[in-house]
This record gives sequence, structure tokens and C-alpha cells, in this order.
Amino acid sequence: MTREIVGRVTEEEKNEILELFERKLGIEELTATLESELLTPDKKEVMQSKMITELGKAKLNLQAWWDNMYRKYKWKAVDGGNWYIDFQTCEIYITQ
Amino acid sequence: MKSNSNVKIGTMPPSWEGLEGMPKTITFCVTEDCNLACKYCYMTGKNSFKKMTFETAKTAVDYILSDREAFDGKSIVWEFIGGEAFVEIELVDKITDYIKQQMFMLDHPWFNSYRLSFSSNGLLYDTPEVQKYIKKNKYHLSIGLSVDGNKIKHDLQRVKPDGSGSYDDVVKNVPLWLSQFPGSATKATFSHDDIPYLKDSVISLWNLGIKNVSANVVFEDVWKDGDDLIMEQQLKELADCVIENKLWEDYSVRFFDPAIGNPLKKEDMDKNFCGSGKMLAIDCDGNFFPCVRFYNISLNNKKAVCIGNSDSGVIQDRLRPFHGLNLKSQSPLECVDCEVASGCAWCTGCNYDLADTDTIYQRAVNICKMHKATVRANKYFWDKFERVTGLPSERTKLLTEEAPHNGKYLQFITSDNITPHCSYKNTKGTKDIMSNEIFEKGIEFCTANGFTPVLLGIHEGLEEDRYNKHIIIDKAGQACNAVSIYDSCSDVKDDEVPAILLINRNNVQHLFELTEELSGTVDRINFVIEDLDDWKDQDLHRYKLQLDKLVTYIAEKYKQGREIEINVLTDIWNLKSMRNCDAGTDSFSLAPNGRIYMCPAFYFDDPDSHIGDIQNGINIKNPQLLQLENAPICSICDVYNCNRCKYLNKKMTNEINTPSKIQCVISHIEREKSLKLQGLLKESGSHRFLNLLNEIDYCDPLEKLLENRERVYEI
Repeated sequence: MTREIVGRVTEEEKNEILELFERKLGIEELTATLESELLTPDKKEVMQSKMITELGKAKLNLQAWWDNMYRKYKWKAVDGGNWYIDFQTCEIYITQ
Repeated sequence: MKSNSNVKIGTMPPSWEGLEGMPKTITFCVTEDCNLACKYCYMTGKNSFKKMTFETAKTAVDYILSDREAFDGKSIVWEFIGGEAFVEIELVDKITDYIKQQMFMLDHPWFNSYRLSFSSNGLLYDTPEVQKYIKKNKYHLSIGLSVDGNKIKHDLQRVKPDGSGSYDDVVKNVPLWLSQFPGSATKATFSHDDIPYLKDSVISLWNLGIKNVSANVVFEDVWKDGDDLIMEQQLKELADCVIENKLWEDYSVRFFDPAIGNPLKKEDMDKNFCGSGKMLAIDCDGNFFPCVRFYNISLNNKKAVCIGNSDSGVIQDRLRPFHGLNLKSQSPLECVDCEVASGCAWCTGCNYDLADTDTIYQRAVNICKMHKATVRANKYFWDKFERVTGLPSERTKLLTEEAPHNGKYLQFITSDNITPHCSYKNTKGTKDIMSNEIFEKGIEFCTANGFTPVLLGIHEGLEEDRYNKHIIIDKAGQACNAVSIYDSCSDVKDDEVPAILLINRNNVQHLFELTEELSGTVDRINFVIEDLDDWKDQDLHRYKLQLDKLVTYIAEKYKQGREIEINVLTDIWNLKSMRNCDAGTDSFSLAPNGRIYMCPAFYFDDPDSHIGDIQNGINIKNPQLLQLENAPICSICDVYNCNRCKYLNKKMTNEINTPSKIQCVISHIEREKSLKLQGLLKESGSHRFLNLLNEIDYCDPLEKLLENRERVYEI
């Protein structure tokens, strides 16, 4: 697999996607807490419903971020390649 | 010289910064029990009966998540400690679930940026319960395991309650830990008994695959004479091993951090080393503390410092001392002035426990010799690294980058006939010349004490290769000048370097012409008044008129795009606090007689007013009087670029911290003209200012001081 740096986003833009990314992972990791006895059945149902809604939103917002940034920066794209972000450096790289 | 492509030694993996950097930490002490009984542990009151209930934790979580004013920030670290937190893994799991659910359901910002943190002795790491917890929270977890070194060293300190060592029990879990948390560091702690095993311990940890060793020494009063020499020898042997085997690309130990062992920078003085007071620690009963070192079970000599609980909230007054705590206020003067202070650590909780009174403002200095030994070995490593590898030393690079910030200067008065660069002159007609021997000793003194040499003039007989690598201040027209002095503008111009223009009662009426001529080629001009102590009202009047003409002239130049700097008019625009003459603090003068003075003026006025010599160093009596906070008149003044000439203060008022009337008046005349020039440039929008001046109704801050005091009495 090759890795090529194709661009860089601002610190603010990096924080936007970092927050979305962490939210998505946070919701996914919440699933296992539904087994605990902390929630009454009613509250569990409310939380499950909220998790489904919020996970959907987080995924959409993540895709929207990539779409917006691509429109703004016009990074190199390659068939079969994927863009990734390095949260330490704000660099965007492509792998194939 | 080759470039540094990948030097890792001395660096540590970056800690999690969240969305804004430096996230707050909330620490739960879930149990006071531990399955080890480490000999050096600061928690001397551990016991097997006290643990946190879920209800206590829940109440604390509810309080913390509800008070966004006290617990602000976008990111958070939830930390679990003991004793040993994994002893209570079921409770930890339940608390974690509750925290996550509550953050999510309350739409708390922390849900989008949090971590769960553990420091464990590792004995229970591979148990199904702990592994289940790791799997459940993997993305948000940070777990550190404590392995202290090789088996002998580890088992000397980290023992089970029956006294047997725990090395084998933890080491068997290291491969699993590293596979789940690659690149993790371990915090090896060294004390008196195990210093002889330091080198083998660090190498042993590296051999286990723990490539980052965040080693440190204990802060307590355990160190004996000679421990520092053993430590230095151990570290030097480690340095040899690293270089010989080219380990510096893949392995790291904190002792070789290239930033260790430099003088403190000014900004370091206002910082505290640790985050006590910025974090919140909760004990098993739900009481709040500034950090875990202030728990009852962590203190041997003092009472716990409780700062509230979930019912009463955080008592902000108890936190105020922690917010105010900085390096300078808690350290002895020898630490503040220490030439190798950077990287020397302390623990606020340990300081409190060992202090003479119940204060956090008294720094324990037990590790002083150990830190200095580390610095010597650190320097040995990086010097050898540079020599052997041909790569630039990270230590040298850092020193070079930071030199302008931490520099102290030693001015060499190379002869009694030098052209004055400040308010002094040789009135006695002496003709002493600095000998080559004194010059060489002065350079050695600079090297040994971290001073940058500055040559005032160059006396005949000194070979060029002995002086041309130093900063030189001399009359205009001399080769190699860093700053050129102009007695009059008929002097040969040095276009490239800043100028000092000497002003006196005889030439002040020509100041505008002199400046106009000089500014044709020079971009920065420092006015220096040679004879301020003789100035009368008519001299001040002439000076004002000349400055007025200059204000118009300079404004026009700025509008044309030529930003000429005149110290008395433009420097104040870029200052938000006092920056005055640093004689006696960061700048000293070596005279031809081998003695050291605060500045050349003291030497030329009275050769017996020295503050040291190159054999015995510098020893200033009442050094506190050089500090701005101990200068009552100057500390309320906002003429930040004022010279605050200590020599003239002493000469004219008899007190080094008290300016004369003429000093204050002339500085305020310059401030007034600077304000006028700033106004003209603001109108044209041709310049941006850091410091916007305002109108004031006094020309001597003593008036302001006395007025303030009268107001206080009236109240």
C-alpha cells in the first residue's frame, strides 16, 4: 500500500472532523453499555432511539465534511484510493 | 553535516490533547486497596477496607456534568486510580457506563471528546474482566503499566504484601499490553536503593519492547551523598550504549530529553510544573481534592487539603492558591537563578507534605543534585552523539533557538578609552587596557556560566580571531560592529547595523538634524543621553522642540513606507510591560581590572563598586531591589521603554530602585511625543500597534503614587 500526502486542512477544520469522528466512535461504544442494569427498560429504549438517530447524523456530517473539503481544496483523487486525515499534522493523504 | 532524519531519543509520545489542548482530568479513587505494597509509594495509608460506592461516584458525576461553569472545556479525561483500580474493575465498569450514558443523554460536549485513563501495576491486566473492559472501551482508553526496570530493580521496590517481587507477574502481561496499546510508555521510578541498576533497567525495558521510558527520580528526602555520582555514571554508560548500538532512532528515555539543563526563560517563571488545582480528584468518600497527592492516604506529615464535595461543590477560595502558584513564588532563589534549571521537576503535593508550614508555596529541593547529575550526563550524551554520528545535536539546536530568550550578557570593557555606549564616561583620565589573560578568563567565565560575551570596543593587541566571533559595540566605522556608536553624524556610517546616537547638553539643539542625517542610511537609532544628571529646564525644553520636529518627520517617513525605529518614540508601541535596562539582572560588565560591575557606569564612577570578579563570580547584595515589583514608583508607571538607569538612580537618589525626577520627566516627555506620533499614524492607518497609548495628566509617577495613597487614607 502506498501513501501520498495530497493536502492539508486548517486546525479548525481538523477539529470539526475530529469531533464528528469521536462522536461516531462514542456512540458505537455506547452499544455495549445497554447490557448494564443502569437503565430502566423505558430509558434504555429512549437511549437506543437517540443512538440510532445521532449515529446517522454523525455519519452524514462526516461525509459532508469530506465533500466540502474536497470542493474547497480539490485534492488529488485516484481510482480505488481513499483519503485519510492525520489528526496530529492536519495532513490529508491518499492510499491505494 | 548530515540532517537529523529520525532522532527519537529523549522524546516521549504526545499526551492526548483533546480539542483544545490540556484537557481537565477528573480522577476517581475507587479503592484504597492495592495488590502490591511498593516501598516507594507515596500512598502510605493504603488499606483493604475502603472503596468507593457506585452511589458516591454517581453523585459526583451528576454534579460535575451539571456545572458547566466550573467544569468547562470541550474535552475531558476520566481517570481511575486506587490503590490499584483494576482491583475494582466491576465498579469501574459501572461508573464508566454511567458517565458515557449521561454525557450522551445530556448532550454534553465532553461526549465528543473524552478519554478513560488508568495507571496500573499490571498484575490483573490479562484477567477476563479487565480484558472485557478494554474491548468495550478500546477507542477511548489509555492504560499505562508500571514496570520499573530489570528484575532486580523492579523487585527491590515493587513487592507484593508478602514481600516477594512482582516483576514476573507484570512482565508476562507486557506483550498483550503493547499489542493493545502500541507505542505506550512506562514510568520507571528510581530511588536511592536502585540507582546502581539504572542503565540495565532502561535497557531491559527496551528489550521488553517498551521503547519509551518516562523515567524519573522520587522527590522525597531519600538521597544520600554520592548518589548523584552513581546516577551520572549510570547515565553516561547508558549514553555510550545508545550511541554504540545506534538505539537513538527507535528508543527513548526521558533523561536524554534535549531540553533539560538550560536556564529558565522568563515565561517559565509564571508556570507551575504540575496541574494540581486544574484537575479534580475524588476520594472514596466523594470528597474533592486538587490532586491525588492531597488525599489523606497520600500525606505523611500534613492534613488532607479538601476543596469540597458533590453536595457543597468546589470551594473556589481553596483553589485560589493553586491558581496563583508559579515557579517563582514557590522556589528558592537558587532554583530561579539556576543555570541548569529547565526540566527540574517538583510535585506540589510532595512540597506541601514536606514544607515547614502548611503551605504549597515551599518547593522541596531534595532532587537538586540528582537533576544536576542528569544534566551533566545529558550533555555528555548529546556532545558524543554529535561527535560520533555527525548529526546535529538536538540539545545544541534547542540552545541555539532559545538563546535570545534566556541570554545573559557579559560586557567586556576592553579599555578605559572605549567610546561610551550609554550614560557613562571616563572622567578620571585612566588608561587601563584589558589584558589578554583577563580577556581569556572572561570568555571562560561566559562559557561556564552561560553568558554571551559582548565586547565594548576592541583594544589594540587583541588578535582578530579572538574577537571577531563575538558581539561588538564600538564607534561607527569599525569592522564587525553589531551596534555602532555615533558621537556625531560626521562619523562613517554603518548602514547595516543599529545605531546609538549620543546626545548631550551641547548637541541636543541639533538632534533633529543629526537624526535626519543618520536615518538616511540607518533603520534603527537609539538615543542615549550622556549627561542627564546635568540637564536643566532649558535642556528639556530644547529636547521637546527637537522631538516635536522628529514626530512630524517620522510620521511622513512611515507614510512613505519607511518604518524607522527610534527607541524613545517607537519602542513603547510594542511593549505591554516594562522592558528596561537589564544591568545587574541579565547584563553585567567585566572591567580591565578583572572585576565585574552592574554596568560600565559603576566602574568608571568608582572602581570599588564592583559586584564580583571572574574568580569568585557575581554576588549582588539586596538583589531584590533590582526587581520591578520592589520599585514602588516604577511599578505603577506605564512608560515601558524607560531606561530605568540603575546607575543614575543610585547617583541621584541614593537608592537603586528609585528614579530621579529628571529621569521620570524626560521619559514622560518621550511618552507624550510617542503618543502624538502614534495618533498621526493611526489617522493614516499606516501602522498597527500592540500598545495603544492614552492621555495621562502627570509627568512624574510619584505624583500618581502619592495621590493613590491619599485616596486610601481618605477611604
